[in-house]
Amino acid sequence: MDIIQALDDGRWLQLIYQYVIGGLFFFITIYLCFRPGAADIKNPYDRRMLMYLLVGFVGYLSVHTVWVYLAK
Amino acid sequence: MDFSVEQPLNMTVVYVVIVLYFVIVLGFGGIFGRFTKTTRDFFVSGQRFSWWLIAFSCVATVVGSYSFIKYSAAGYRYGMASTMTYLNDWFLIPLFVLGWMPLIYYSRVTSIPEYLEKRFNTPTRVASVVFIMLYMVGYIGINLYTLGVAMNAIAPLHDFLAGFVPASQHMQGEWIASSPAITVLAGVLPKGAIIQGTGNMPDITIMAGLLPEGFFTQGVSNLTYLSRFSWALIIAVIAAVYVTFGGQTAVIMTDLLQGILLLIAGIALFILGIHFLGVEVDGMSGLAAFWEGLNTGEGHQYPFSGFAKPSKFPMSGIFWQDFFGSSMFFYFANQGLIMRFLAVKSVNEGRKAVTAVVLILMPLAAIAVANAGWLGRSMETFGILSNVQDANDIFVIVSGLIVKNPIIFGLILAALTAALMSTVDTLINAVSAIAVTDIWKPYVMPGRSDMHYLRAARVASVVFALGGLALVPIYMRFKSIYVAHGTFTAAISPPIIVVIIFAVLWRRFSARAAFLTLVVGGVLMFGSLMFPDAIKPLAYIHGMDPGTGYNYMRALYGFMLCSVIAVVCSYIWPTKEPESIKGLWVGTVQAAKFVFKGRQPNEEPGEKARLVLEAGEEVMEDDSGALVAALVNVSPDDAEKMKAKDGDLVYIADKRWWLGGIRSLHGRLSITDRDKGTILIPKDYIDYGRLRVGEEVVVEKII
Repeated sequence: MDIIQALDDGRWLQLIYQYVIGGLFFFITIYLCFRPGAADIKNPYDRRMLMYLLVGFVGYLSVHTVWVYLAK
Repeated sequence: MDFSVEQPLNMTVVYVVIVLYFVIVLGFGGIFGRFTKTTRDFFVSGQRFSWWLIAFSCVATVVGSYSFIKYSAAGYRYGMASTMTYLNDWFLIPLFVLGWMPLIYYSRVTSIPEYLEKRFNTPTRVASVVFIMLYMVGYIGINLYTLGVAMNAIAPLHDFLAGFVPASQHMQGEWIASSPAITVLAGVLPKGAIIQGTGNMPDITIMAGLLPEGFFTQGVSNLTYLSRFSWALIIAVIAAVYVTFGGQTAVIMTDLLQGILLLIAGIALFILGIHFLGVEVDGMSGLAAFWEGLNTGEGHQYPFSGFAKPSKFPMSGIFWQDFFGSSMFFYFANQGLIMRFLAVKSVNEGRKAVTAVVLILMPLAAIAVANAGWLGRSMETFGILSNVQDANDIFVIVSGLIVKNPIIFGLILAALTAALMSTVDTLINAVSAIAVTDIWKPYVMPGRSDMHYLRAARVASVVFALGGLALVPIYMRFKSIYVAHGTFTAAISPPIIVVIIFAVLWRRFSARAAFLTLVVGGVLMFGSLMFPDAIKPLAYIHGMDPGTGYNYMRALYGFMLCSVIAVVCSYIWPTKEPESIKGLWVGTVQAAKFVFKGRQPNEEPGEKARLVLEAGEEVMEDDSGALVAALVNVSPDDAEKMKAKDGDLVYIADKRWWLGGIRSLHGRLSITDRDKGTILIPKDYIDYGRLRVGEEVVVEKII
C-alpha cells in the first residue's frame, strides 16, 4: 500500500491509470476498425492517419511523463 | 502600450470594444449568409470546408460558455491539474476518425437520429430524438443563463438599465433572484474603490475598481437580475440573427473568428501575466516565478490531481466523468459538433481537423482558459494577491490586475463572449437540423420542396433561440430545474454513447437491443440517481469518498450497465438482416464509400490540378429543387495528373487557399477531349459555388 500511496503522491499512479485504461480503449478501437477493413494499412490515407494517431499517443504520453517528473 | 498604469479602466472603451465585436460578428453572419441556398448548405455548409477552418471553429464550440470562469477557478484551486479535462480526449479519436466519422459522412445523413433509423429502426430514432431534443433545448437555455451570469459579473449593465426601471424597483421586488455570484475585488483594488452593497443585496457583482466611482448605488439587486437577462437576450438575438440567415456557414465563419480570438486573448493574458510576475517578483524571470509560485506543497505543478483526492477533483473521477461522460458525448452525440465535421470537403479532411483539434488546439485552449487561475495561485504565493474569497472570481481578478489597458481588457471580454456565443449558435443550428430532418420532414410535412425545408429550418432557428431564452428566467428562479437538466444529461449520456459505439463497432447489435439500451439504460440511470448505492462499489474500489464518488463514477457505472444490456439483448435478439446495415458499421465502410459515390471508389493518391474555369449549360436541380453535383469536364491529361477516372467525385475550389473552401463545389468527373489546363462546369453551378469564370481553380479528386 505504501508503494501505491507513493505512486499516488508522485502522480505516477494517475499517469499509469490514464494511459493503461485510455490506451486500452485507444488501441482496441484501432484494432476493431482495422480488422474488419474500415481502415486499410495499404491505403496511404489510412496509413498516414494511423501514424498521426500513434505519434499523438506517444507525444501526449511523453509530455505527461516529463511533466510529472519535473513537478513538485 | 503601457500595461502598468495604475488607474481604473475606462469602461466606456471596454463597452465600445465589445459592441464593435458584436457588429463584426453580425457582419460575418450577413456576409456568409449569402452562401446558404439549400438545406444542405444550412446544415452542413454544402460540405465544402478545409480542415484548418473547421478545426479553429471547433475550438470555439468545444470551449464552453463558462470555460474561462470554471477552469480558471479549477486552476487556482488545483493548479495545472485543471488541464486534465482538456488533455484526455485523445483516447477516443481512433474510433471517431476511423469509424464514426466515415460512416456518418458516407451515409449522407444530417442528424444522429437519422443515422440511428438507418442503422436500426424508427422507434430508436424517435427515442433518440426525444432524448437529444430535451437535452439540447435545455442546454441552449443553460448556456444563455450562464453567459448572462458571466457577462454581468464582468460588464454589468446596471447603469444603463437603471434608466428604464423605476427607482422604487431597484432595491427589491419580485425580480430579486438569489445568486451565488459575488465578485468582490476588495483584496486587490484600492481601498475606497468599492462601494459595498447593503444587506439586501448580498449577490451583487462588484467591479467597482474597474468602474467609475459612483457607478454602483444601493439596490442593484433587481438590476443584477435584469442585467443578466439583458446579456442573455443580446447574445440570443445576435446568434439567432446570423444563424437564421447564414446557417452552418455563418456559424463556422463566426466560430472561426471567435476560436482565433479566444485563443489569442487567453494566451495573451498568460504572456502578460508572466511579464507581470517578472516585474513584481525580485530576482526571478517571469517564467521562473510562475513555476516556482505553483510550488505550494499541494501539488499545483502536477498535470494530475490526487488519484482519489481532493474529493471534488479526483483524477480517477475526472477521467471517467470527463473522458467518457463529457468528451465521448460531445464528440459522438453532440449534433452540433457532428454537423461541423460533416461540413468538411472530404472524410480525410475531417480526420485532419479532428486530429489538429485534439493534438494541437485543445492543449492551447487548456492554457488559454485556465492560466488566470495558475497566475493567481503564483501571485498568492508571492504575496501579490490575497483575500480571494471565491475561486470563481479569479479570472476577473487576475485579468483586472494584469490588464490595465481598456482595449485589451475589452478584447479579453470579447473572447469570453466568443466562448459563450459560439456554443449557443452551434446549438441553435443543431436543434433546427433535428427539428427539420427528424420531425418536420418525415412526419409533419413530407414531400415538400427543399426551399420549404430551408424556410422551416430558419423558422426553427428563431423558435429554439427564443425557447432557450424563455428558459433563462426559469433557471434564474428555480435552481432545481437547472440541476434537473444536469441530472437528465448525466442519465441519458451513457445510453446514447453506448448505442453509438456498439452501432459502429458490432454488426450483431440489433434494433431491439439498441432501443432497449436507450430506454432501459436511461431508466436504470435515473434509478441510480435515486438509489446511488448502486454506484458505491465503483467509488469504493477507486478509494473515493462514496458521497462525491457517486457523481464521478456514474459515467463508468452507466457505461458498464448499458454495455451489459446491449450485449445481452444482442445475443437474445441479434441482427437478422446483415445486408440491411451495409455501410452503417465499421466492417462495411468500403460499402459505405461505394454507396456515397454510386460506384467503385478510387483512392489512388493523385496530385491537385490548377485549371482555368469555363462555363457550360446544364440544369442543376433534382425533383425537390435541391442542387445536385454537376458533371465537370476535364482533359485526359489533367485527369491522369489527379489519377482520376470517369465518374469520380472531385472538389473544385478557388485558388486562394486562405478562403478555406468558402468558394468551392463538388462535382462528378467527366473526361472529355478538351483543352488541357481547363475545366468546364455548368454556369448555374459555378454561381452556386461562387467561383469566377476565366480564373484558375484548384481541382482535386475526392474518391
